[in-house]
Amino acid sequence: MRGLYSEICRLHGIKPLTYDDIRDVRDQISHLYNHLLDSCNGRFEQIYDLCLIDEAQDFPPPVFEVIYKVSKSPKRIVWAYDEFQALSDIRMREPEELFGVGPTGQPNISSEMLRGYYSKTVKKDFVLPNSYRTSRVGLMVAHGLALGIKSKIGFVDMIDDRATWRALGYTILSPEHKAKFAKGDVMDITRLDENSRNILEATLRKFNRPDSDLISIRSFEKESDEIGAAATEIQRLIFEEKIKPEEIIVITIDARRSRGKLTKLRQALSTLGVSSVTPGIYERAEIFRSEGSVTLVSPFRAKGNEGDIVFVLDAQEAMRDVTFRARNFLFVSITRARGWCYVSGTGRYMEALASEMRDVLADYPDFRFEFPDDSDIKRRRLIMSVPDDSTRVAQATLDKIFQENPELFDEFYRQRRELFAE
Amino acid sequence: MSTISEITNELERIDTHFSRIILDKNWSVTDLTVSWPNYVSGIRDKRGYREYFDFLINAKQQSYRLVDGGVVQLFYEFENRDTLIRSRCCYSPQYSTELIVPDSELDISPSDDEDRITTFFRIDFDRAVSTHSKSHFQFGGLNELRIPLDSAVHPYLFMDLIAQALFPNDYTEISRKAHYAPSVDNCLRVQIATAIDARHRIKCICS
Repeated sequence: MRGLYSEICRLHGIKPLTYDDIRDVRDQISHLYNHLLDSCNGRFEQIYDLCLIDEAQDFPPPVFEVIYKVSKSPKRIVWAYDEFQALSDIRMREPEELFGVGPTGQPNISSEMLRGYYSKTVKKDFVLPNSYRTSRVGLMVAHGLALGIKSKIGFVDMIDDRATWRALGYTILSPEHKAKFAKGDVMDITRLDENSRNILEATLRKFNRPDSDLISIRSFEKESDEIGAAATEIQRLIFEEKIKPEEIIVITIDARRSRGKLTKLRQALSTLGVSSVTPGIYERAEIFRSEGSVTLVSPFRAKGNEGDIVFVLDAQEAMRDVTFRARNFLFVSITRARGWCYVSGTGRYMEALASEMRDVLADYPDFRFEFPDDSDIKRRRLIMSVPDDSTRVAQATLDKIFQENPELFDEFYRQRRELFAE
Repeated sequence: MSTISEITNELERIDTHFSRIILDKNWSVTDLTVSWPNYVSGIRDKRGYREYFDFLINAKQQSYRLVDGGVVQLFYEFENRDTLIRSRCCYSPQYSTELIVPDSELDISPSDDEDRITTFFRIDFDRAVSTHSKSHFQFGGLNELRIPLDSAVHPYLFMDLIAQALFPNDYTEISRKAHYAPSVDNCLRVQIATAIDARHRIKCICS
């Protein structure tokens, strides 16, 4: 099956660019769709009666603009997104920024157009507060980590109004009456059963098992131990618990070293008589949940897929990566699980993460915290908005200095901060 | 003479000795054959290489998948448990190292140049043939080029050839181990090298 880009190219007689052509381009998807916009020079065939854009948080504006142009009037476009699931930008953009502008400079779709109802009953813009896939405990751990509610380094992001929390399926117990929260507010937020439609929790409760049985957290000294433990547990699940292999997904958070890691795991599984596939590395990307095989993937390939049992490897990266992207990978990975989720990693970063996860679980099914200072959150949003490549290089340099000469690192930071602090 | 238990023993040793380059193992043994589950014959006929390779992967037509993505097939058929009548050892490389676009949302093709690799190589043995050498080295379905050999090749030796040629760094590690030893004496490998050099033995039609 052709993807959208190839199909539009074909229908407009444009030779599609290949990966070779854009290997060194930083924002590759934007580049491709800008190429389409330039090649068609505004003359697009209106092909589609209705367009549904799923996982819209992961696409840059040129994709939306092209979709607008290839949609037939009256432009029936539905886009669904989850900002927590974003793998690149963290924030979803407004429609004015997404769908391009018309000949007079007016946005093709404005926020105003999303207000109100269709036929007086169907809301144009609405939030889905229920989670049908992920268990309540899984979702709360994932949200707790994504926001950094119990993080030693402080909050990663925050939601400052009651309405948005409610839209995400949470109920604010404290403070009782405020619509908007400020620094120092003592927060107690709970997630009611009715917002989780996952039947597994009820089943566990029937057998007097706690919800937290659904999440396992393990820290290992060495990578080989982590791989060995995952492979052995997968073998046990398949041969003793009779789980279908295709219901098991393994995701490594370390997206840049995923090939090596997943290869080692696949070798270990093969030795134990377990078949596996690695879509996007050893099999074509569209091979997912192949019958009789465990699926091994990076977070990019995992997105949009789900399994009864999910193993998340290299979770320490969520702590190591100061840009918080790996934390988002962790969120995406944990929320792939319909049932059990095994989170593991190595070294002291993993120990720190495990402790943070246990702190989140300690308050379950509530989040309890003091509302943070907004300036910290703003700084972190700024870090998250910088392109991935440059942040990665900067982080690697800082990391190197920190490893080789921690005293210099400390002294430099302290002096500069004192000199230039406002 | 080759026996089915000799071949099976060698496969078991391959599992251990070559583990660092093996991604999946999938061989199986029945009464009179050493092959893999759901063996399909004649799959290389009339297909382009990509289609052929994708079929190998999807239908798991493999004894081993290696960490470079390549597929190794080791097929041995016996008349009774100690008389080999046919064998085929084949290595099919993954058709492009850029088979896959690195992780991203992209749905484009990796490259225009995907078909850089268009064939596989194999060593066949068939006791019954009389029109050409009973054992030979061959590229894909190119029947005009058969490099004759003096005997069938054993699996351990075939893996040794592949490891040596395609995984030189791993091979250094593999062959350094005390237990490492190609099962057949090394002369067969020498024979292959000699055969390749001895151009007069190659029936080659240059087009």
